[in-house]
Amino acid sequence: MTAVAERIVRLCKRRSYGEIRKAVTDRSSSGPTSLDMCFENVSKVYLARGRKVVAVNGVSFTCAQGRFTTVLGASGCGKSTLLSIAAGLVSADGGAVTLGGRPVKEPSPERGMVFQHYALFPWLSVKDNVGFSLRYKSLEGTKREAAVRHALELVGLERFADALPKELSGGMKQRCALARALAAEPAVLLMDEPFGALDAMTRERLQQELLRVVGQEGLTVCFVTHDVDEAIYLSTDIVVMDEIRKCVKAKVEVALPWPREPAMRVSGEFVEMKRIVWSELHAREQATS
Amino acid sequence: MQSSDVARVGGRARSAYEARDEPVEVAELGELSDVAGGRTHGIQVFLYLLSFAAGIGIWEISAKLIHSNLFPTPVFIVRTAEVLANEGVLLSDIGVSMLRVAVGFFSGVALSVPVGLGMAENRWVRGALEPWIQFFRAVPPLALIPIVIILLGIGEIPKFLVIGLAAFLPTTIAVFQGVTDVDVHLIDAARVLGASRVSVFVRVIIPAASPMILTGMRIALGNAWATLVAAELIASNSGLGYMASQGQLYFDVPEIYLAVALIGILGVLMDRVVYLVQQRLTSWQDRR
Repeated sequence: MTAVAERIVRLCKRRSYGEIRKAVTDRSSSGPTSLDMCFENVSKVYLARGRKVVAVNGVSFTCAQGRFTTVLGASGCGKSTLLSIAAGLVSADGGAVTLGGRPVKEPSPERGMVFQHYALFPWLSVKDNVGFSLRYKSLEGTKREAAVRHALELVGLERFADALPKELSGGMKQRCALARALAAEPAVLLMDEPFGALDAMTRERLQQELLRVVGQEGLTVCFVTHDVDEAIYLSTDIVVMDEIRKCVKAKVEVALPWPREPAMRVSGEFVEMKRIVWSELHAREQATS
Repeated sequence: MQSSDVARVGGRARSAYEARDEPVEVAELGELSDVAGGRTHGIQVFLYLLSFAAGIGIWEISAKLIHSNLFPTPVFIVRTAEVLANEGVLLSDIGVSMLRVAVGFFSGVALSVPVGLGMAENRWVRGALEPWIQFFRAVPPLALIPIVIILLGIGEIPKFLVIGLAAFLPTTIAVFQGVTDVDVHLIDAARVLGASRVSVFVRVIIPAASPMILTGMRIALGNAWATLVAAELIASNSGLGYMASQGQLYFDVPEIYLAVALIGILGVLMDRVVYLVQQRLTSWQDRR
């Protein structure tokens, strides 16, 4: 019986994310105090076998507060490098990433990250993984527990609090990783192809869950993917990367209504959007040829 | 890790709750695997004991048939043990050997952790130490005993030194390798979550490397025990190795057999203890 009740509650939550989502997007146009993340002419060069390899070449775009920005491009276009720079894990060779006007220099819990291969700590239970960042905040024990519980509830893992990562399926691992990033209460959530290792069905379900969580929490997201459908379905804004020149090729605002619902994936608007994004992605690079 | 290997263990049950999106309790899965694991484990232990009993039985019968002073029966060896125990020699020899191996093993391991970490973290430390570690790894610690006896005599210190070295080398390699092999993404994840350098070390690198380190310790204990017994055979006036060499000297054949049996039994018991600690500490690993 309780399982049924919980499911109903969860379904109700799902219904409401659209309204919350809308409230968040309205709030985002608030102006000067915003926590926008700006990439300003960011460049990165790697040394590989003595040869210089340009990974990112003068990339500029903004992940506006409260919006879902996706960096879309083929593998090797430098999109993951961009995210590592934004996280502060890798330093840029030129330009800068700023969050709320302050330049990013080192990793910080204000920029949460979700990795493609989960990067859960296998020796910690789900709840200890989720609570990992709370050790670094001066929180009382009870508040810490409440924060962990809230994050677990957001991703629907509350009944798996004591499980070990090895006992979870891929989709549940990624939910756990998302909860872990959320528990640190980041200003921006960086997601590096988070659903890339999942099967198609699980991926769709998690995309829907992510939209719900993002709506509920009013998150700013910078998402990286090579999947055009995923980019359109999730985003408010898409930044298309040029695979060869390693820079921004086009910026597209996604003209699809909120809330996003599964049926939209086959709607005319979606297909039209896909046509636009796809042709931007595959536009021949006249400049280079 | 690909989702396909993720689902390797108990894959069917997992994909079931993924599909229903209404997860099955983890406890159910845990109980299932425990029942299966417990049964196979029980059978395994039974087979071990059966094999051991059969070996002793064959030995007893063949020794009775051969009837030679050079090949005593297990029963006779147990009686010899009783005699030696009553004299108080048996327990003191066991105690001395155990103490030596404990001191050597723990000091070797204690030293190997900072050295292995230093080698993994700093190229200067690695450059300075690795050639020497590789060199001494190529030399069996036993081969050092003559030099050590010349330099330090046959007291306790030279034994601790040789045993310590036997334990230190494999553990150092294991610590170094374990720390070097830690998944970069785990370190990145911890840093993004706010962990400092020290915190990453304590909360991520050490636990992530612990399976490797514990395996190194198990090998180290085996090495330390083998080296100890050999050192006692050559240069000592107490311990199980000494017991065996005295048996040879005074042609007390059952005593030699007894010493060998005790060395084997104690070696297995100590290895089991480290193994159980290892299993307990690394139960989070996704094992086959």
